[in-house]
Amino acid sequence: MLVYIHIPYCRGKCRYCAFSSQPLGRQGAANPHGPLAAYTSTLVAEIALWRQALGPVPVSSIFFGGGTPSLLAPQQVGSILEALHAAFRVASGAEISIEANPESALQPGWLAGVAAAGVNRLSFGVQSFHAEELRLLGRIHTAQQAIQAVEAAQRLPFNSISLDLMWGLPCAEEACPPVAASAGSPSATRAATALVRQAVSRWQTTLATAIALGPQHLSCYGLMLEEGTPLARQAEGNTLALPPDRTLTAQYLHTVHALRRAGFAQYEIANFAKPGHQCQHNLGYWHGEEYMGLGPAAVATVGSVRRTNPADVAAWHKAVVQCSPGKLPQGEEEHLTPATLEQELLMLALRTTQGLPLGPWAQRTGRAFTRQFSTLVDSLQRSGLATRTATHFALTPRGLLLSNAIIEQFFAALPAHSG
Amino acid sequence: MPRQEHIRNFSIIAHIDHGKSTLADRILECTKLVNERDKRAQYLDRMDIERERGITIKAQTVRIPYTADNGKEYVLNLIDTPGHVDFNYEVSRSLAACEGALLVVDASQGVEAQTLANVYLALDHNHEIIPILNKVDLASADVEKVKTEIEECIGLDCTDALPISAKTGLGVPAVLEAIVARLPAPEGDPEAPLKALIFDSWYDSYQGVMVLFRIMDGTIKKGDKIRLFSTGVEHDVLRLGVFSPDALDIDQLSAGEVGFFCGNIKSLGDARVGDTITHAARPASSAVDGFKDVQAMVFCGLYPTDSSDYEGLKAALEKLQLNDAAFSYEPETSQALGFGFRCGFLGLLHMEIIQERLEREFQMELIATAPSVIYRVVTTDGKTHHVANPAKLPDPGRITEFYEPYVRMEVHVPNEYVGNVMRLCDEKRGSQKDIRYLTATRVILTYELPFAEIVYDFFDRLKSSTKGYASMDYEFIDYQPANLVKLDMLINSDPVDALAVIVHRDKAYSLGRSIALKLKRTIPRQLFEVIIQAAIGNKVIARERNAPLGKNVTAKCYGGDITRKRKLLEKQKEGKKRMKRMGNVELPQEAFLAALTVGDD
Repeated sequence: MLVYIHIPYCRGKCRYCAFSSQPLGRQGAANPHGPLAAYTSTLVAEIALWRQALGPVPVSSIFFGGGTPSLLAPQQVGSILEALHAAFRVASGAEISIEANPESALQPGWLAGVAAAGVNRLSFGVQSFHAEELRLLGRIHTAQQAIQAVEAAQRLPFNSISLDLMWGLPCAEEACPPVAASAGSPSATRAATALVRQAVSRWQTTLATAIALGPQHLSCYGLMLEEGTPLARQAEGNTLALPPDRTLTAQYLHTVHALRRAGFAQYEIANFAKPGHQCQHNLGYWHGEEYMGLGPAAVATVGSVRRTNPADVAAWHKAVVQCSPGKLPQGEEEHLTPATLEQELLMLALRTTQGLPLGPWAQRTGRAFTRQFSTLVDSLQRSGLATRTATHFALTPRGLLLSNAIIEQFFAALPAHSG
Repeated sequence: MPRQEHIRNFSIIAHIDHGKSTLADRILECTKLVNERDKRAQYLDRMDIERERGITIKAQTVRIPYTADNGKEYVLNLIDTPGHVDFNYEVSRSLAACEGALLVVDASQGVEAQTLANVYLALDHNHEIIPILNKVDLASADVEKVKTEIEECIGLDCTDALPISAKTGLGVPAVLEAIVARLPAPEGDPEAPLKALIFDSWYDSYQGVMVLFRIMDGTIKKGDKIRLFSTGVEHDVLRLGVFSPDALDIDQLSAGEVGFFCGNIKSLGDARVGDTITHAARPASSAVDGFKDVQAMVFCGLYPTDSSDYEGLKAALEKLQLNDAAFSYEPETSQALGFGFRCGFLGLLHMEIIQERLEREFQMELIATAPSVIYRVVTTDGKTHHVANPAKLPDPGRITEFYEPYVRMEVHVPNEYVGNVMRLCDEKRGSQKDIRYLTATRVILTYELPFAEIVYDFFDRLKSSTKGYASMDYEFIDYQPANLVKLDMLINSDPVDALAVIVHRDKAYSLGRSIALKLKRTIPRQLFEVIIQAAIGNKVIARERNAPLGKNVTAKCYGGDITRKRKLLEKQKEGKKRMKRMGNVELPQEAFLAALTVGDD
């Protein structure tokens, strides 16, 4: 069992983020009777409910995500972990991760505090080392703060330090003036090529800076414009130059190669690790393991039931306190049919570089994967988009870049079902 | 021969939008046949498609009791006819059931090609015609000019033409009086052996085939045993009646009258339009003239998007054919599209209507191939083949003679567009036969051209090159020899049978290039490279390439994202349901119409 804890608070809202989080002032964070304290005690109550419902199940990893989990005080992190240890059989040496924003992690004593509380893996939200990109994204920290935070963490006994970075970032207007020449003309083509080079080189700098800091793990996400976010509105208003596909492809393939040279192996579309430093928690999702989800908007999947907590903090609180013993807080429930579970297994496994294990697939579905999808599998292999070993079918880095289109074709070839 | 002095049988001839259905509505209201409560627009057009498109597909009749100003009571039978070239035969049969016609011309538009064609048909039947100028309330109406036009091009005296506004009802009572005063009463002997003309029939799921007829001679009674002339098949008259406007049972109908009967007839093929009804016991010596077999002129392949819907499509086609004997279908297999049907239609409108009804009334999701005409091919073994599907063309090495159907076409156009129309017709391999001035500013162009050229984008091109002012009509004349070749389209080196077209050799190169380009634009970029080629025999004449997709990836997918992401992919998959997969490549529905739409961009 994996345990995910969602922290629904942020100091400020990033301009690309669609998640409903609640802004929290400095005082709010520090106040011992403020929202974070209330949140912590509700969360501890929710842990008790899960304990009652499931019993003392074994837990292999714990992940504090958000929002901005680094807004929690180390003591609050500590009491949540204590509650988890008391309720479940948390494996010794279990991976315990927390996402941290550089500016809050740099608060005196925070990093040492969470390390002492038992956190052994840090994931820093860095995104970029370019000031204008950080501004565009609405990040409230500087590149310098990110570097300081990582360096500070390295002096403490964390097992793994990871950085989140973003490629595919749009150009703020001042950085890339609109091309004056008419589209398609030789000068326009030259200008466009120059823009691609600029964008790729900006990303190369960010990536090189990150590597130089010596983390054990990197997550590199292509920016997705989420509907309704300020950034998406800006893009709709045409005041934002979104990078063309060729920039994105170049940036992604550069990431894969540069990180391989630096000793990071890609193990999922967006995730790269030094040997032994893959994120066990996230791998658990892609391997189809069960997970508990605690906190507002958190999602849990146990057996064939997926439940989502109310996103609103007050509604979540109410669901927890009004929950009758033996039950779980009332939220949205989705019952996963065997066919749906099959789809998800395929979709998630094909995100990893290890790929889909053929043996378990055959056991589960009663069909041999490569025979079931022979035409598609052959074409993918022939085009260099996938590879196949005796035990696994996996997408290549180029295939991963097209994974939506590929998985969709597998979906289309799956037996029809009412999903 | 006795006359039925109290009966008038008439039709209304008009171009689309000139106000035929509106006038019919006003006549029904004016005679109090339809009251305020039941009133609705286009009362006689029963199908949704008819109302929406403003066209009449099926003939209708309505029996209107009318007390004239002279105090006498009359029965007026309005026979509403289809008004499109595809249905010329049906129109001719409906006209044969009448003695007169109202010619409705939009006073702001003037005479159109379609009007003229139907007027000629009516004149062929020796009809008395009352010219009516509609929409005289519009500021743009020019009554005198349009009168001159009618007089000059039809030779119809317009001194007593009636100015009306079907919209407001202005002048409609005068129309009713004119029908009584100016149209001849039918004649026929009620005592003679029964001779009745079928001018429409349709299938009713409760009563079997309903037959609309006009009695020329004799009398028909409920319970009679009747015989159909062409087949000799006999039926009992189980139900006899008239539409007024709803079905009204009646015990007997005599010479000059119009009505319907049901006789437990299972198939439309047993009561075909144009056939003659007579009594089994006392048959007439001859049939009503003009009966013929209607031939499908345009063919296309119809395939279910989802191959598991094949049986559903088959059932839908069966049902549609129950109501439309002119439409034919037979099973066909395509490598690209799987199992489907080759369907035959009277013309392009007929084809569109059938496709639309399949999608609307039967919720079928269809892939239709580009329409084709029937080619006549003679092979080295001396056999003649009729080829309705380009993919089935015999090997070119075996072909000794190749013929295609030709039509004679009349285009009515304001003189400023004559040049454009002539250019279009030349491009479409037409040869000019005549050019006439209808008035000082309107011209009639007569061309002979291959029907295949009309089936492609002719209508749309004509419209756009004349800003919609041209109207046209055509009739088939004969088959003529032509230098034709089959143009194959290849996707990743595999010929796609459903994309093959037969074209004139001189046009093959340019068409091949445009279709390849059109396919390149229609086929979305996908996982794999797509190479599109056009070929004549083994010779590739055009090549286009679609590079594979660059990037399509979701950056994050953790515990909370799984459902959303799965649903997104499901939705994308659903969105592609209308795509046909050929090996690696997904072809959208529009790709199969590429040959039709090459001119669009």
